[in-house]
Amino acid sequence: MNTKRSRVQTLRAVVQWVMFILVAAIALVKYLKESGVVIPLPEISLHAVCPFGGVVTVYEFLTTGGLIQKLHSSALVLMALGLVVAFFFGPIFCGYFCPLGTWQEWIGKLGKRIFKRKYNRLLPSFIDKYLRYLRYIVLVLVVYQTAVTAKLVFADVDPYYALFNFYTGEVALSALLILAAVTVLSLFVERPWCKYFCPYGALLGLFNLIRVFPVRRREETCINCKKCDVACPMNIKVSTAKAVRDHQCISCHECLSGVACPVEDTVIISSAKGGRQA
Amino acid sequence: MKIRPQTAIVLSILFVLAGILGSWALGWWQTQTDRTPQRLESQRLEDMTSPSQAGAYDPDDIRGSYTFEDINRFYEVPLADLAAAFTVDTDRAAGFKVKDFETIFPDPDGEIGTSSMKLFVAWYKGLPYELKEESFLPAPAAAILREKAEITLEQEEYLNTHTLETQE
Repeated sequence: MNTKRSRVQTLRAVVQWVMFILVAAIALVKYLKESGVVIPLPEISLHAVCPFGGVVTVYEFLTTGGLIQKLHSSALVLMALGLVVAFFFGPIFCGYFCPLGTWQEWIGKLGKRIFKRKYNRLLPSFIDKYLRYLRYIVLVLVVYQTAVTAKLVFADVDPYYALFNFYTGEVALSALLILAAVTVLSLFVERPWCKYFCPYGALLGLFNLIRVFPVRRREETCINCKKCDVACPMNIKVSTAKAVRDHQCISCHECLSGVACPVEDTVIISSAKGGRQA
Repeated sequence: MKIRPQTAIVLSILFVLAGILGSWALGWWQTQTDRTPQRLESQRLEDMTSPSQAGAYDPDDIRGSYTFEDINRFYEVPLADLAAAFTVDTDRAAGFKVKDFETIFPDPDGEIGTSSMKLFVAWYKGLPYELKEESFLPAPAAAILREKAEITLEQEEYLNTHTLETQE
């Protein structure tokens, strides 16, 4: 079990580190080249490699054939690829690739040391469960405002852009304040941005309802230890479901057999149809 | 069908890489914008002050990321006039970006910005330009337009009410 566990989590950590360094390097190269430093690398904007850019410019693309200022066709390509991946395996982008999610997890490790088992369970559930739908409002507002203004309105509040460009002087104060708030909140709540505000996570999360390969729990072998529930950063009750169809699942695979689940072949990824869903 | 998480991740990564490679091969993978501005649409040519400007670049496509050198190259406005109009030191004018106006015109309302440059270039070159927002010009820019451009009475009236004094 330990070998399997280390493989999945190690793979995830490696992917997260690679993505974080890659995005940081892209932002740094652009900044240095704009500052006049000669570097034999292409100058790529972070907006060009953000799949959410593709989401907000879809309306512009469909109605005029063009893109919102600052965006590039690569964002549309990444959006399409991300949606296909989510259709099969869920929001793997969130659980593995998103550097802002990784940043929150890193800060969260400090929070876990401080609050121990209370970490990520400090917010009353009756507030938490309603706040989880806030990100859909954010998604609708951002897409609508972008369509109406034809401007990248989200950039002014985007903590992802702020995280990698805070030193460039090009980040709006509002985005820096939101990044600071997300960072502080991560000490109390795991992935607060993902849970309550992320519009791209909201969109990808919907694919949990229809994904081909959801997380499934085999009742016949489950020992009801609830370790899967404790491991889930999004507080999903995996232990009460046959198939995890929760819109908040980020496909981090922390709940699976060989990772959190101590019983082999019990919490798995499978296309076989199950019964009750979480 | 059961699938291992490692398999799901590897398949996802391979799919994304293949998608990027495929879109690159098809010419869909663009991570940089063509810095060349669009040319004026043919239906707008009849609005132009000077027919000799046919095929000129559209001043409305001036972007905040353009340097004065870009504007000089595309719109053929002398660097010296751009520097004088917007009170930028001549030795750093070539690399000065339009979006950096806020560093020299720290007006809380941001009245001198990219649209001011669009307006200045359009009127300087006698190109059609539709004002979409209220744009202001620094006093030296207005003076240069009055001296070197063929501005209309209507434009003169606009300058009279949309010129801001700058600190030397």
